[in-house]
Amino acid sequence: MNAIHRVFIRSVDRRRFTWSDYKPLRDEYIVVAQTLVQLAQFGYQRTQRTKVPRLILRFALYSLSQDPPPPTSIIVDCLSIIAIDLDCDVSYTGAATLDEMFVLCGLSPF
Amino acid sequence: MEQVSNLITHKLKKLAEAEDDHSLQSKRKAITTLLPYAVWQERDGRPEMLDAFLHPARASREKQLTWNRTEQATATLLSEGTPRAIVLVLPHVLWDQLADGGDLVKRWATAASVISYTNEVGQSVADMLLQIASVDMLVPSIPVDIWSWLTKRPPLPLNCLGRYVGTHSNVVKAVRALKDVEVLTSYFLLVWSEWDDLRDHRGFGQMCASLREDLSGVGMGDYRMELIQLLDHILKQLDRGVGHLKQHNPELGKYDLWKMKRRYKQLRELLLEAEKRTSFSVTAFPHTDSGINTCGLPRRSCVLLPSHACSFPYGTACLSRSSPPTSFLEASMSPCFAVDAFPFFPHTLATLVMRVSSPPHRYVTILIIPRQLDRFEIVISCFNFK
Repeated sequence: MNAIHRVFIRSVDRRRFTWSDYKPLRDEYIVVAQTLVQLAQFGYQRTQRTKVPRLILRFALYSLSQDPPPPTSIIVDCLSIIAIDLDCDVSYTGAATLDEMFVLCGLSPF
Repeated sequence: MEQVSNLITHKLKKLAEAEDDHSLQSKRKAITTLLPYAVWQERDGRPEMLDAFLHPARASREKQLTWNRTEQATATLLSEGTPRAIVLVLPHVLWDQLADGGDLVKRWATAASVISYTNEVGQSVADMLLQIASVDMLVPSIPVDIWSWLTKRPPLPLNCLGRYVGTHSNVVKAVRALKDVEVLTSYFLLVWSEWDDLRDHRGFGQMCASLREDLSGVGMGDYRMELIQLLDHILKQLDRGVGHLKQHNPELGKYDLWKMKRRYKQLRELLLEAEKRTSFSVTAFPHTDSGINTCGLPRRSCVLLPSHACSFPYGTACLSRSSPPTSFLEASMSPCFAVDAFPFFPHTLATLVMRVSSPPHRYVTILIIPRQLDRFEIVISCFNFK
């Protein structure tokens, strides 16, 4: 969560933010992906069900474009992010509370 | 994984079916994000996700699923995609963001050369070909033989980008440079329609020049007739008024319609003029020496290559590769020459007898005699008939 907090909150220019230098260890990658699904869900609800924050979609694009593809759980998380943005009913079982979410994201849907 | 995949494929299908362009556009980023995964899946023999991606991509009224972050997805498509994926998807993504356009054209052309033809594939290849040709610096990278895909004349979807940019002057120039009348005619048949306003005035100027210069001559009659028929249809459709046309172009106004009509009428007039310049009144003529006065024949012959035109005192002769006549009568009635087997005279591929409008009782015979492979001698003789 801290890592993600740093990414989102401290990133100077989220529009230009790119995941291309992000090369995490497998465990961290899995945790980040899971958390981003939760943030996507939250961000989507926060924008009256219109948009998942673009930064999170870009994470999915970056991860799905990798060769070789990332572990299956990360692919599932990326697909979940896409499904949320497409307004599919994706069940959400995240551990983070809504309060935590508010703290974590100063997210805006661009 | 399967559950979420099914959710997505189902949703994309519904989005495409709803024909709600606003919704489609608002979801273009999510749809594009899916592309690399769909490419991997299709390569592993599971095309469902790629097909699901194509539903909204084709349904969108915007010409492409634009997102300025798509280089990664396009790069994955080109490096990992199957020929089918490359051919079907590339026209729908922002491919011109990739640095090496020449390499992209090469990969795309290679993919197109190994894929079997279907209507869907034909449409995509023609769409992409026109898109590429609209970028001046990429035209030299296009392999010449890929232009022949246009002769299959796949009906282009109304909302495809190739159709939109396909009437730009770069494209018209590229097609004309091929000096292939089949490709040229097919190209016009693809990009002219009541839904296309020929707004690029330089492109329109090139088209007019092409009709005057490339499609004049006796041998071009079939091509001209085909184009005139299409233009008649287009003008008829345009006469239905703005209301009819607004279904695919809501922003179209009365002035736009007036301009479109004027342009298409101009094209038609150019073709009719060319037709008038070169037409003979053709008549069936029995093959018999009786009644033919052959004295004082002006006789002239030359070697003519397919698709090259030659001037004779009676008009311009040009070999046509369109459907050969099957009988003498049919050949006589045809305004163009045939090059396929028509063994009326020994060693002659085709014979045509035409009555010259003026002076009266003057006829022209044209014999097409093969001399070498792909090389014919045309003998034109003029004689009086009483």
